[in-house]
Amino acid sequence: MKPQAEKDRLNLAAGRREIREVLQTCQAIEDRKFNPFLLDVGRAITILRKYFNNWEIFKDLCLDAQAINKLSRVIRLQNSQLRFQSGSLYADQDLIQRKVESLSSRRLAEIFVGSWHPIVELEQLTPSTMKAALGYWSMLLPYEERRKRLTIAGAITPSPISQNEILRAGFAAKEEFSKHLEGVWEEVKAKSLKKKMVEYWSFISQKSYAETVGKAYLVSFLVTYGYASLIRKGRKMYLKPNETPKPRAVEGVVSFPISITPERWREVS
Amino acid sequence: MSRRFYSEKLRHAAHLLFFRRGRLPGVKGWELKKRLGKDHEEVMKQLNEILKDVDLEVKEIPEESSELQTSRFEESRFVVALKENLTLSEGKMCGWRIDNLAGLTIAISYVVSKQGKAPRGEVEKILSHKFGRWRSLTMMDAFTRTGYLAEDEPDIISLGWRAKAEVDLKSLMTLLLETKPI
Repeated sequence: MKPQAEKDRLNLAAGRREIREVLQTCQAIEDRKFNPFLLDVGRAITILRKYFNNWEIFKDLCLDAQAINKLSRVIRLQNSQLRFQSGSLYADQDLIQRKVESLSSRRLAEIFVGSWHPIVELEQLTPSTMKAALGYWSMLLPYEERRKRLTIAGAITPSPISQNEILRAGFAAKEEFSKHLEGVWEEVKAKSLKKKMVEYWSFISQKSYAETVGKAYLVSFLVTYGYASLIRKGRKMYLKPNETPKPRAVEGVVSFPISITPERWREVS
Repeated sequence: MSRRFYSEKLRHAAHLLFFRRGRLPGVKGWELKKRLGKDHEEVMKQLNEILKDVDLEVKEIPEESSELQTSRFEESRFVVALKENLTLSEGKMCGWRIDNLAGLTIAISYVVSKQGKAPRGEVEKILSHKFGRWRSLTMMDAFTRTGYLAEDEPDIISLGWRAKAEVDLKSLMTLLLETKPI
């Protein structure tokens, strides 16, 4: 037979585990992963009551208080769900999902336009934008001067490029673009298994210059869409894959241009 | 008692409402009150009557308080919006492609069906069923940038200020549920 102290210890450990489970469920409900009514609040309260008298240390009491707090939030969500269901905006999310899948883009666009009352607004110049514009124009060299510079530098005039040329250059593949990107993502993950990151230039470096530029182009998409992060350490840059894509920050997005010259490619390859 | 006509104040109110001066369009109630004086409500009514003829109206967007849904005139934002609806071809002229307009229907209705908040991943998933993964990501960025969706909490999408101001949510949900696939 187990001694009483041992029994109590096991009892407390089981209590902590059960309360943590309640907390996790509450958190998932708060994150809108589950329906608030999935949690049986009465049962959760019974669990808390069952163990409450056994808690002696401050940490356990905090856990109990945290659970009460989370449960109160779930009850608030249950309340708002009931109010919402009784209101005219209520629609089952599965029904909405089936509906949008069955309708064409055109029909969906018509629905939006049918309930859309766009705001009328006119953009206008302010003293600060006028000042910025004036500064830009006064700093700008005459076109003749700029044209001369372009000629000296031997710049190539931009011209349209066909799909075949893009495919030939390796900037696009025949397979679906997204699949291609996922392939590169998997490659970044595979190459960063040991150090959790991979050196940028060694990763993009390929046999030919064109292939290197193509790889860098795909990597830029991975970074933009949060599938990998670009980390700078001293003079080196590293790619760190994210297990799940991190959403982009809408405000304060930073553009980080990386110049890929044939000279630099020769150095690293 | 004869009704006064505020021609000068009407012009002033129109200038305030039409020309965008800050980050968001429109003007706050307190500013209207300050600029137009004590008769501001009557001026707004008269402006609304004039705008009605060209299918426009002054719309009050209540400032959402955290707990109570009460609003005061001073805290509300006033904007000029279209009174009736556009046709699809007119809608396209506003700078949105048909795909984007369809995407807005999907994203907004899904968020509404989840009581105004939904995980970003779920919204992206439902959009990607229709438009593909990468397109859904760019759409989400565009919708949050223009204010139709908001991401105030990380990974949780809610309706943005523009969706609340421009979209008749009841009508959107009703139209969506009533429409049958052709």
